[in-house]
Amino acid sequence: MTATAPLPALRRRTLLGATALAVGGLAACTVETGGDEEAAGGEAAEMTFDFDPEASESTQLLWMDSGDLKSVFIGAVIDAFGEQYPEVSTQYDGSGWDQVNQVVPLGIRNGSAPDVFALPQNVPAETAITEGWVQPLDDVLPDIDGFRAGFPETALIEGIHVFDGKTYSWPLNSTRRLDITQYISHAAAEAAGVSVPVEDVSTWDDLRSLAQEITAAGTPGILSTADHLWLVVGNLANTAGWLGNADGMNMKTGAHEYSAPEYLEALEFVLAMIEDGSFVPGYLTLKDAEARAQFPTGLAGISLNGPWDIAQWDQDYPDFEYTILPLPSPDGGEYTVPYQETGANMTWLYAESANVDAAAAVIQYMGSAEGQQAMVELSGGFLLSTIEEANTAADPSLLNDRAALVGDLARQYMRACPQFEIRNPEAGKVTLELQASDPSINAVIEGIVTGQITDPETALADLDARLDEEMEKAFEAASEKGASVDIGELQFPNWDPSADYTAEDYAALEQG
Amino acid sequence: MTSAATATRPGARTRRRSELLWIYLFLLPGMVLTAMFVFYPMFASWYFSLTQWNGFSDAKSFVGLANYRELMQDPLFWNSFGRSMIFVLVGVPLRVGLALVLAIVLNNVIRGRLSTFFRTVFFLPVMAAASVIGVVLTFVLSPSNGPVAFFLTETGLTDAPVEFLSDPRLALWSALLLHTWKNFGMTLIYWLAALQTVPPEYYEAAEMDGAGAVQRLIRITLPILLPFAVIIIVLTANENLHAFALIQALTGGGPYYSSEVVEVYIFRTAFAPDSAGGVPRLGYASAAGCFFGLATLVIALLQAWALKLVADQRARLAK
Repeated sequence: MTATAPLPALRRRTLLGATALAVGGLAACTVETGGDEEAAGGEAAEMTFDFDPEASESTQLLWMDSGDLKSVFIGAVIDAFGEQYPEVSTQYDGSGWDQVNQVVPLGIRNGSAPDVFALPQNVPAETAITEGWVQPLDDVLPDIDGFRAGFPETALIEGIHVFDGKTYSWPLNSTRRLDITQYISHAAAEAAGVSVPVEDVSTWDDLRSLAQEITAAGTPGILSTADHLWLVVGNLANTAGWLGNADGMNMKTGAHEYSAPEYLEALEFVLAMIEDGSFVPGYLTLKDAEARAQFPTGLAGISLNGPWDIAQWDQDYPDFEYTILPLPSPDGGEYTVPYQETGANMTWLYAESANVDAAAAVIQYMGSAEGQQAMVELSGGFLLSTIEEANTAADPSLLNDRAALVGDLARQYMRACPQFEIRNPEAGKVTLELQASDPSINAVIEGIVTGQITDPETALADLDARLDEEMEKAFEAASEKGASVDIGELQFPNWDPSADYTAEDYAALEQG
Repeated sequence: MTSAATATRPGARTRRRSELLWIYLFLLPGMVLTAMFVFYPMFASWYFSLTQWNGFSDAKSFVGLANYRELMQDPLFWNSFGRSMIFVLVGVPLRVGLALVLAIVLNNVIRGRLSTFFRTVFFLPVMAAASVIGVVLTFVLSPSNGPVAFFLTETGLTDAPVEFLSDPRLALWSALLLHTWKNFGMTLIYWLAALQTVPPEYYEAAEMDGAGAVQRLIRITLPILLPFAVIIIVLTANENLHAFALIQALTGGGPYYSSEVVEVYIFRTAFAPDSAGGVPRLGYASAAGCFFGLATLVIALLQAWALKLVADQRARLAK
């Protein structure tokens, strides 16, 4: 099942591009994982901070996170703060997850962690709090009540941002963002005799035949990578009516449902396209960053990925023309994609920071309606706020047309699904007990598409059983340690997948 | 006067004590560093392997041998263990054998600047960081636009690009060959150094007796190199068991674990964030590391035993 297209697309240009990448790899050996600040948006209004340098002992402000698209906003805010208060030296380090994963734990151990940082990817928030890495914002923010009140009712979630009633972090931006969208290269489509912009790819058959046409014309049809192929399958399954969220759980039943008929149908569809030879050769060893960088040079005709690609393409290949379309559904019917509005890009205040006043002033601004509007504008609309007013108030002239389009698609297709974390403040204690189960969904998908797993249905049913078992164990362990949690709280029978699950729904559930 | 009598002199004893003091003083920094960075992590790993611990929190639950019991039943671990053994059982003879042949050629056939040139060329990959080599090779071997795929298809050697790293049937073997190529120069240098110990007079005498090149190789060179072979095999096996950086950069152990060796398994279990969710399992990963360490210790002991056998045989022959 590893059939691949022949190599007519190997032109001198792509070869040179790959060689340049190789040289770049030798020279720097670092991989960017997202957008770029220059490519994103325009300038926002002047920033104001609630900070009195005379009354503060803050002398510096060090901020570290994974960078990417948000760096356009965070970097600008840190710079503005430094300009307004030159007595405070500022430094923003948005140098990627690898750096965060290594530097933050080391800094914690030797007492030199940045004042504000993103948590390493494998450190749960509960651990950071119980280990005393971070401190609550309640006592340090100039106006914590105003800060909290500025967010929607379900935005600050106990167990994610709030622990034991104290606010430790906040959602910098919304997670309502389609993970997988179709990006169709005009050059590849035209070469296949398809008129551009591509008007309609609304059914799975449309996508399959377009990929076949593009492949036949000399460019591999579909670009996906091992990093996110499981997301492609999951999102396609959602278009077929699958109710699984990003963790594969159906929040109506509280059970993992990777072996549901809709999921298997989506998997079969992806396998069919691989069998057609429509996928880029070697897609399983391609990294997202490489795929993103090479797509505009003719690596493939259709990229199935998220909107974070757009900013980099705008900067590196401003002449690259492409059509953006939502994922097709099996028969062209309407669908919704459930998502968990946990907020993205959270940062945390270092417990031993000697510069809490400066950090707090900046955090207060970033979480305010003005700050959130500035984020939307500076990112060109690629980052949307959980505060809807900040999105609607953003100056349209500062927004990127394509960002606006993908934002509209997200609003059109994505619906907030219920979350255990919002329902039970002690959910974090379950998370802390939850063990990983190998092979994970992306590994199982990899095994299926490479033919190493020959019975997908059995493998996915086994995965469901393992994940459910680990969840049960985590609930039991958390209960034994005194947490007031019940696995039945994973079930939300009043969930309507076609609508956002709101605070009223949570309340109705508890009353019912 | 006997030397023993000399050694008992008070002045000599004081001098000896002073010498010992200096020796231990110079050894101290190395011992401290070894204790900190070798022995402490080693003993700590044994302790961690008996706990359930995520690596970050202070709270460690003592679980006895539960991690080891789980490990024994984990097919993913045993599969990765098997792949590590393939790296030793296939990779070591391949590298040691090829390097020996080339070393003999460079030592006896090609001489002068050309020999130096080839030695440098073969040693260059050793100098480069494995992770950098791995990243670059993923571009070079890319089936979509890498130069190797371009060459193979343009010349008609293959109809379609070969998926060296993404085909589960090829990924491990590709990684093994690349690891062999990357470290080949080191084994070559070992052999070249060993070849310098063969006294040239032996060859001259053999030539005078009418021995041909093959006979000289079989009767003189190889027997003299035999003790070195054992040491070189031990060193090469050790290198082949430590292929983490290259494999992580090349395939990350994929696709679907098909190139996952034990070190990658340990890393994935201990640190790597994964879509599987959950917290890292440093205790469990430590158990895997300790078990693997024991297994490699057994291999090393077997090789030490082989070395002793060779030494005994040589001693008998010398008599």
